[in-house]
Amino acid sequence: MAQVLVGKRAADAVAMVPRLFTICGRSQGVAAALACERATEIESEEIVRCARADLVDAEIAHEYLWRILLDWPRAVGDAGNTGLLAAARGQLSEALESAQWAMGYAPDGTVRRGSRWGDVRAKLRGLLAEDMMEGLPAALDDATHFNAWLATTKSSVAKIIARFRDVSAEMDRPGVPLLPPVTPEVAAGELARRLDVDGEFCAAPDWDGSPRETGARARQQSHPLVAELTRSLSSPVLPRLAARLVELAALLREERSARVGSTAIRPGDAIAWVETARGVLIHRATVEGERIARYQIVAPTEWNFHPRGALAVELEALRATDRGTLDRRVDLLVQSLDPCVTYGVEVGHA
Amino acid sequence: MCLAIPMRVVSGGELGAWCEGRGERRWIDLTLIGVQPQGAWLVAFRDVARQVLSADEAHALNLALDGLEAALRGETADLDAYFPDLVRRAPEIPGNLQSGDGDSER
Repeated sequence: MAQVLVGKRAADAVAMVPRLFTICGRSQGVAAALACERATEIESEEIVRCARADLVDAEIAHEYLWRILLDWPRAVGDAGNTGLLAAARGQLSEALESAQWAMGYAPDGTVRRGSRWGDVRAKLRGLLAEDMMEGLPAALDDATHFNAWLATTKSSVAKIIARFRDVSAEMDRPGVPLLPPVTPEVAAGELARRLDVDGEFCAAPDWDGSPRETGARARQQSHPLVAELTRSLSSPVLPRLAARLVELAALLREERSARVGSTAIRPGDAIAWVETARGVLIHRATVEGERIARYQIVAPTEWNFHPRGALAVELEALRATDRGTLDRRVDLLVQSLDPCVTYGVEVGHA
Repeated sequence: MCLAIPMRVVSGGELGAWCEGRGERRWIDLTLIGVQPQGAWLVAFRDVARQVLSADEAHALNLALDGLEAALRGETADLDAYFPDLVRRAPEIPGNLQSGDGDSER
């Protein structure tokens, strides 16, 4: 898909990316800006970096709230809380609008203004406190607190998560290791090498010889709650949900969580990475003169939905004695990996 | 990857509507954006409407997706014409690609 950017000026390519990839448009736009600026040796200022981090954080919060308030409830037969989600989206759109100026290539200094993400976070904490976040973040300290929260809280979200836990309790342990974080050394080394020589890497990436899981569970693998749930449960579904709650709670506590970076591979050639709601997003831009000579994108969905990736391996391990149970388990599994496209399920009988 | 397609409301009610876009017809949940009149444009995510688009925005997004499809077919010439408001005009771009390139969103 990135082929459409070849031949464009770097600034034009950066403007095109968010339009093409609308669902995670801010993360995509920031990744494109970082890759193209690094390739053309433009160093962004602190105010630009902060505004971009706010865009990525606000977009992650938006995606997580959509999952938690709408997709997860519907996966277990509940209507979801569209009123609360609509109110939260109203707040988030203010934050996203306020930092929008930082999206482009080498943004114009004359249009800068302060991001409203800090104010919006405070409002979101108030908005979500009663129904959704009741008992959080204390319940995210470890598995004991988390299980107690699931059992006793009035939070509607806890009730939904408890149903995910119950349905996923008999699902098998997966065989796909977690993707390690991208660092400048990894990006300039092995990642650049794979992008150079492996024509399949963008569409079906693997690492150290095996497909990997990317996303909140990979990022939070050392968090006490996520680590304990991963160790003790037979399915990764609940740890994935818990990892998203951990990240959302941190975002709302005003901890800077945006993990973005870029590094030059060689003159005119750079890689950027942005940790998004669905996992790591990688952009590689090669610029000759002032135009894009090569552009590569590795999206998080390509890791998790790799033909031998997390979804495939865990689907193969699914067992159920009746169709209804099988359908519920498939839905929960797919939701836990958060595809960015509509999906359908067809069951064949062996 | 996370592509979204513009859908146009064909018929429906308060909770949802039949929408069409790029050869697809789907029932789209409208609960997050409210009831929409026939002919309104929107973007949906997994069959839930995410945002309302103006006719200009829908046209620009459709054109961009046409450009993406052209690139995937292996076409390399004239791709700038699919992004008329985003791609800066330059002296070497033939004049026929600059027609209709008047307004800018950004």
